[in-house]
Amino acid sequence: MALPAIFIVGVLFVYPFFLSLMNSFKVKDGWGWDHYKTVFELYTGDLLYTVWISVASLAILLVFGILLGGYLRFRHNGWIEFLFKIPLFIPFVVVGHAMRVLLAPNGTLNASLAALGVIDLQNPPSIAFSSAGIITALAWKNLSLALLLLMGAFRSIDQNFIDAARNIGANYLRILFTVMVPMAKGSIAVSAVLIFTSMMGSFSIPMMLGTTEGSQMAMVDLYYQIVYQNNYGAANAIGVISYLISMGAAMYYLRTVTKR
Amino acid sequence: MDIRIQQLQKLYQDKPALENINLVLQPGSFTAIVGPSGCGKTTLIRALAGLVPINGGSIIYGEEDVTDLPPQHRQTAMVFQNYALWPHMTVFENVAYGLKLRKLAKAEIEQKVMSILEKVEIDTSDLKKRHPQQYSGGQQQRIALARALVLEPKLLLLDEPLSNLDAKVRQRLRVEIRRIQQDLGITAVYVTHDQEEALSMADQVVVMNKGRIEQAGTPEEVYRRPASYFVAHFLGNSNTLEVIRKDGDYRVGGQSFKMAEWLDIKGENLQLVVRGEEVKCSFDQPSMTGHLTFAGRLRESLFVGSGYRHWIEIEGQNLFIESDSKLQGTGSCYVHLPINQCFLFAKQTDKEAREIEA
Amino acid sequence: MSAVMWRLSGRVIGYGLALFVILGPISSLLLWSIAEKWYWPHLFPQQIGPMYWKKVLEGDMMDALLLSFGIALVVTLLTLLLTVPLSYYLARFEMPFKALIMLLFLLPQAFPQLPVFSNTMVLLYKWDLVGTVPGVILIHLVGALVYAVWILVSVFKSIPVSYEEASINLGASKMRTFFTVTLPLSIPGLIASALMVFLYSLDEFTGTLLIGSPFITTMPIYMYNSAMGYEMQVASITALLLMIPGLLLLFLLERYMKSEYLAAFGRA
Repeated sequence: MALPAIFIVGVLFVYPFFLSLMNSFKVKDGWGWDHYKTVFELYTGDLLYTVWISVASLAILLVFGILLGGYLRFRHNGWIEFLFKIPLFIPFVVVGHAMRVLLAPNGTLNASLAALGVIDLQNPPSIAFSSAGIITALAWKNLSLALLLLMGAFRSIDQNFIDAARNIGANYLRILFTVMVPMAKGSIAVSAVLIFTSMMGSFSIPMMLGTTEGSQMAMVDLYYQIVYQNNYGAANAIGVISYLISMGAAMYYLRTVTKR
Repeated sequence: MDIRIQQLQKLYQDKPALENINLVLQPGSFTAIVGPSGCGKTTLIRALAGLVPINGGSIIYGEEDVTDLPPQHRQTAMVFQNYALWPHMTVFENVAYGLKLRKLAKAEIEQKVMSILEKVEIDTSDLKKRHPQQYSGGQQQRIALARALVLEPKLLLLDEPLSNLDAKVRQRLRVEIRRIQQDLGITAVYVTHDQEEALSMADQVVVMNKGRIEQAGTPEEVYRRPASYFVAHFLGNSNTLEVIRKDGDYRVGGQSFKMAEWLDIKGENLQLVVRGEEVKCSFDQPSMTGHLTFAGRLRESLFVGSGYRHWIEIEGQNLFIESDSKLQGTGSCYVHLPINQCFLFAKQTDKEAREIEA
Repeated sequence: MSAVMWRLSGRVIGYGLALFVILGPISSLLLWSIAEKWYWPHLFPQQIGPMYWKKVLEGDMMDALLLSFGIALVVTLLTLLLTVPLSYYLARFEMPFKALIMLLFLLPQAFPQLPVFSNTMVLLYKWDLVGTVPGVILIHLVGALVYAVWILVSVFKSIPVSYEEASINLGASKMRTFFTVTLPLSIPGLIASALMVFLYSLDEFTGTLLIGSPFITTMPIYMYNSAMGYEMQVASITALLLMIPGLLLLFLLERYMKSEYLAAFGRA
């Protein structure tokens, strides 16, 4: 009874995973680095762009998660907690669409800002279809995950460690940054890796909010290579590079886990 | 400066956790709060630190009302049961934390940290490199004590600081905490569930039960003159005998005795509390001056290391008594209870009794 | 201003900000879904009404909706059937290659899906499953099985072994113990994971786009197509409908279940 599950994951995920490794080296007359050469010629900028977008969203999420997670550790607030769990349950495509509607040049945010007289309608800024749009959407979608992970990390700190600092005169912000963050360092690093990998591999949000010209996220490039160029070799090379970046993050994760 | 706690009240989900707490802490005194778990002693000490908000009453330092001050402005410092030394900081950083918050000069911080650590007898050689986890439990608690004392608080709060330590270390630290407290002349409140600790360390012992103070007084007072059945039963190895009073005549089962005192206690059903180490047992003395004597049967004797513990049955009720040497004899015996060590109270209702047992 | 006023206004600003951050993007969808005429740059639609709702609910969106629910139901049932025994084994018994199996189920969480699924697509082409419902179900199963195993292993681990030992000790067989002791105790966890798997399948986009298109149109695909085709109202209405099951699940989890399973979600 246990075998079919293993079989399905094995055949439909693990085997294709190794196929992608293999196919990225397969060229017409044998094996070679050709696909990687193509990818680095075409997409070095995009790969760096992908990492930059992921790091930027991660940074926003960590700052947010630490501040709000810390606040909720000090003062329980069921309502705020519930509110910030909502993004977790909203599908990626819906987030993508909602952000398009909100952030497009003629979107609701610009209309609101124009009504307040903040921006000039003749030349409305476009937040969607730019890096800022992708970062906003990715950060928004991952708000809940970041908050849940960081709140978990902070909740596992014994109350006495916090009281000891309060008792000898530290205010909340100081306790957060001198006691709680250092004590939860390991869990925060793990959360960061989890969030980073999920953003690096994100596909639908960059597809919907990506720039028409300029840099693209790696997964979008990969999709275009398959659908429009039918170039599986190059697509797999992009895939393998994305594995390596994820692995790098995961190695860091394993190192912090085993160190503790 | 004395510290006065007046009419303190604390509710947890509408249930009283602290009720009508009144207490005066003399300057430089050591007060121990004892009671069973859940009696409110930890809530009380945390309320004094300002770590739990209270629902009524006031805390006054000399002339200053600190009831509404946040914990950081109360000038209290607390020592926790699990030490709560931050593992990511070195020993030096732990102790210096509060001083840094007060923006003291570096040299001054250094000097204060070193001198307080010497006071609590921690080796100061490389504490800038070492983390608290590298020290033994007893040493960690010394460091935690230093972290609290270095701020020269007006009130030192200790929340069961020794209960995670093993017996030998505990004995030693007891004496040292007391010595340091006296040296510095600091007012201290010490919460413990260990009555021996409370009786041996404190100037004032406060016995708490169900969020209330049952009795407060010197250790001798609460031990020798318990104010309630709870206190009498809680302190020492106490025995309880059910006594029935009718027309000035007191009876334990079929055996009656006369008593002139205790007339102010109401009711027919009474309880007599006596400590095991005060009771004597003989096989040939039907009476003893100053004692109540009952006939009983010696059921069993146990060797408990420092002496013997005997189980004696009187009219179907059990009494445990202690003696240094083994009793010579078996079976029928006489039990002698010193009258001035017998405490008589109106009988608890079943509910109250259950709560005390629990 | 007094301290109380400061604190109060700080709280109002905090709540306001939180509401805006979370509900802002969603409220735009609501507005678009009822906009019959909305000319830029007006803040609100010129004409509102249920016209597009009617159109969408009577149109081909309903096919997508029914298909999505059907697929999600099949995926959920298959997932439970396949993962309950496996998770129980993993939680309780030492078995050969246990670490390897756990690693197998960690891989899909640790690596981007798209590059792997594009190779899965090539395989499914060979078996003539691309563009078919069974193909989509299979690709959903991959992610669903992984979620379910991780949740269920922790559910079974949280049931003390001593409960089972007591039953076996009294003479019950292992099978009987599983069905009379373990399974009843794990029902809340089973329900939670079933709901999460259902939602996962309902919301799945990447795999469905690769394996299903252009013949299989589930709700997320339908929404994506209409959004990319700038049918603002249709896309917004579909998006709103697509949000409902998730919000319901969130509510149910908050109300009736431990929220510790949540963190496993949200990575897709």
